[in-house]
Amino acid sequence: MNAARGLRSVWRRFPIRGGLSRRILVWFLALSLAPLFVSNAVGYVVSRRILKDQVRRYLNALSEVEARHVASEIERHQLYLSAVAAGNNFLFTTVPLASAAMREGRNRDSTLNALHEHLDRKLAELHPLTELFVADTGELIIAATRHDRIGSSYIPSTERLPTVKEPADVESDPSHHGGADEEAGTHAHALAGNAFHELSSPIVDGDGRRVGTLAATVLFDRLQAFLRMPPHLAGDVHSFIVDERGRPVVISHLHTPIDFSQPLPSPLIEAPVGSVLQYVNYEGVEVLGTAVTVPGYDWRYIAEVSVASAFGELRDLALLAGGLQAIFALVLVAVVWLVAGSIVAPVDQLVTAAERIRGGELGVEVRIERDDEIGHLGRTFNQMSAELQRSAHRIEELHEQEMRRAAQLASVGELASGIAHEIKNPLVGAASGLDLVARRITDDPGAASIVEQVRFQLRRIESAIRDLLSYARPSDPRRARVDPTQLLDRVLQLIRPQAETAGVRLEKVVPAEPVPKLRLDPEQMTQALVNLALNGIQAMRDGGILTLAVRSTGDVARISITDTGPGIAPEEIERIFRPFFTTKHEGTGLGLAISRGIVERHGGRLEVDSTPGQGSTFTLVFELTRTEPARV
Amino acid sequence: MKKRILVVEDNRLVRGSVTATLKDAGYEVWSVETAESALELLLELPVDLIVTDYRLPGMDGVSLLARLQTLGSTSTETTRMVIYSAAQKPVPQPDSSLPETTWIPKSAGHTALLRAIRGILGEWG
Repeated sequence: MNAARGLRSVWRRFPIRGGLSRRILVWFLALSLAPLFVSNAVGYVVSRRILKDQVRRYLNALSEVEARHVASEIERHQLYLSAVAAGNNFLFTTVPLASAAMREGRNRDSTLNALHEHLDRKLAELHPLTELFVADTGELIIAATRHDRIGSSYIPSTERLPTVKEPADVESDPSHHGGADEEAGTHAHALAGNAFHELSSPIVDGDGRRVGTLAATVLFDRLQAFLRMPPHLAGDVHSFIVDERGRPVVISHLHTPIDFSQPLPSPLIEAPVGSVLQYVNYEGVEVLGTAVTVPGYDWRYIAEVSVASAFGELRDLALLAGGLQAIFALVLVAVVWLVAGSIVAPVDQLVTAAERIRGGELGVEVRIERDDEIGHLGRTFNQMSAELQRSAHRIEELHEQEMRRAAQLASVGELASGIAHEIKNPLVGAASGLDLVARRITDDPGAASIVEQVRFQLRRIESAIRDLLSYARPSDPRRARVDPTQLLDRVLQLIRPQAETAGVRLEKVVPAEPVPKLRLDPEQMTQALVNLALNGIQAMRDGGILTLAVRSTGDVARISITDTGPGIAPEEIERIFRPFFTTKHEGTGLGLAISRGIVERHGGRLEVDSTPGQGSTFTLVFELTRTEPARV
Repeated sequence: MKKRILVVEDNRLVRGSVTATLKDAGYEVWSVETAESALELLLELPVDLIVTDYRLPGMDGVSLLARLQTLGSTSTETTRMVIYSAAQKPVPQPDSSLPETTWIPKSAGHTALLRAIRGILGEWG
């Protein structure tokens, strides 16, 4: 349970998903496993070739040695037999007597018995031999003994030895080699399926005349002892000695099911001596084999080794290598998993985080504790995210402030409007009463002047209240087609008295061609322009020029009012449109706010451009499409 | 014969001072607080001119004029109307068939009012 959870968490930490991970995995495998497989395959092929070569040399060497061994063993027995025959006076004196007795039909038991006993003794010494014969020169068997008959009575035989021949000096007389059977001193036979081997040696008297033949038979089941060829020497190597017709004479593994009367089923019987062939042998096993000649005999020594045993170790090695490769591949995949995970997981994390931010979540952080570029990216990302969050908070804060301010202003507006109405009625009453008083006290100049002052003050209160009301309770524009130049004329007319009082010269700049009419509320727009113009005049305490201009370019109409006053400090530019902002000691500070409100309700905008010390320009900008230009 | 003027004004100070000013000017002046009282009075007392505030408790000045029109009283048919309003601009009149009215802002003062009334009633030029 815990292990499973741990594994899942590891899997989540290093997810192999996405194209990047897969690419890394594929490249890792391609760059590391592919060369490994190729080198292994090449190594296997080369090793196999080398091994095959080794096997061939081994087989050749083994065959050479074994062939010599076999030849020398046969020769040894031959020599031994020759020694027995040549070095024994008993034989060359006894054989003629015995053969004469056999021919004459007389029973010379004593001689034959003595010969028999002698053979028995010799056979006991020469234990690899199965049977020992003595024949006279007429090739008649006159005495014979066998291992299983040692100690039994001798039975003379008139049977002729089938192959007992005059022994040949095989080493020195090559003419015997390719000759007929009777010339050879050593023969292999297969009688009634029972293979045996026969050796013979002449018995000569003191004058060198041949008086008889000493012959011996070796059965195959005793050949191992005879040839002193232990099976373990051969090991997995099956070896055969075949005669000149290819029939097996000697085999290393006795239990091999083989027909001794038939040539050995192997291409090596016909193949050139010393060649190594790969073929399927009589048992259906694929083998590597070689053939060499047996020195001194017209035989071939054939050695076979199964391919399976020859290349078994190589095959084991290949399996081992394959297994190791599989393990290596698994380890590699695991490593790639970790590496790709460590590269891709942070990227994945970043992508997820970025998506969350895009979805509107703020303050998303990634946890990439690394010192490399990815770690750097992560830290930068976090900083960026934090910065974004701060900015968003700041914006939200500002927005809230703005909302609060708007709400405040709205409530201030409500309040102001309420107060204004409360004040207005008594004010009107007071003004009206004052009018009456003024009429009736015309005869008192002092009182009249005070009444006039009170009237002036009341008018100021009234005008302030009017401002407040028009700011707090703006009415919707009642639009009509208005020619901007006519609007300017009206404004100029209205402000002329104040301009003259302040020593300000008024100028009007209008284009020569007619200006498109605008759909405006003439009353409201006049109020806005008069406010701006009076502001300009009031700014020029020491006189100056107030320029009212109309310009129309393309789809935009501009009405501007420029003064040559002290200008507005840059830090105050933002504040001048705020309600109740004033640098004057008179007025409500609502003039600019009211003007801007009027312009904006008409879909235009009020721009200000000021250079301290040179003056200010207020420009009303109307885009004709927005202010519904008159259709002329 | 003195011309008779009816002043309809809810502001006591304005009503009193305007009445006094008009009396000083030699008119016979009646005054009421509401349009409703004015209608009541007009049923029995024909006047030459009505000076009314626009804003009144209940019926306003313009409605009062419309109402007089529908009453069809001969005594009121020729009555001229001066609206003496606190507002700067004339309030839009819904029905253009109403008889002509003169709009005088209160801020213009008694002198302007008196001048207008004299103009309407044709006295002293």
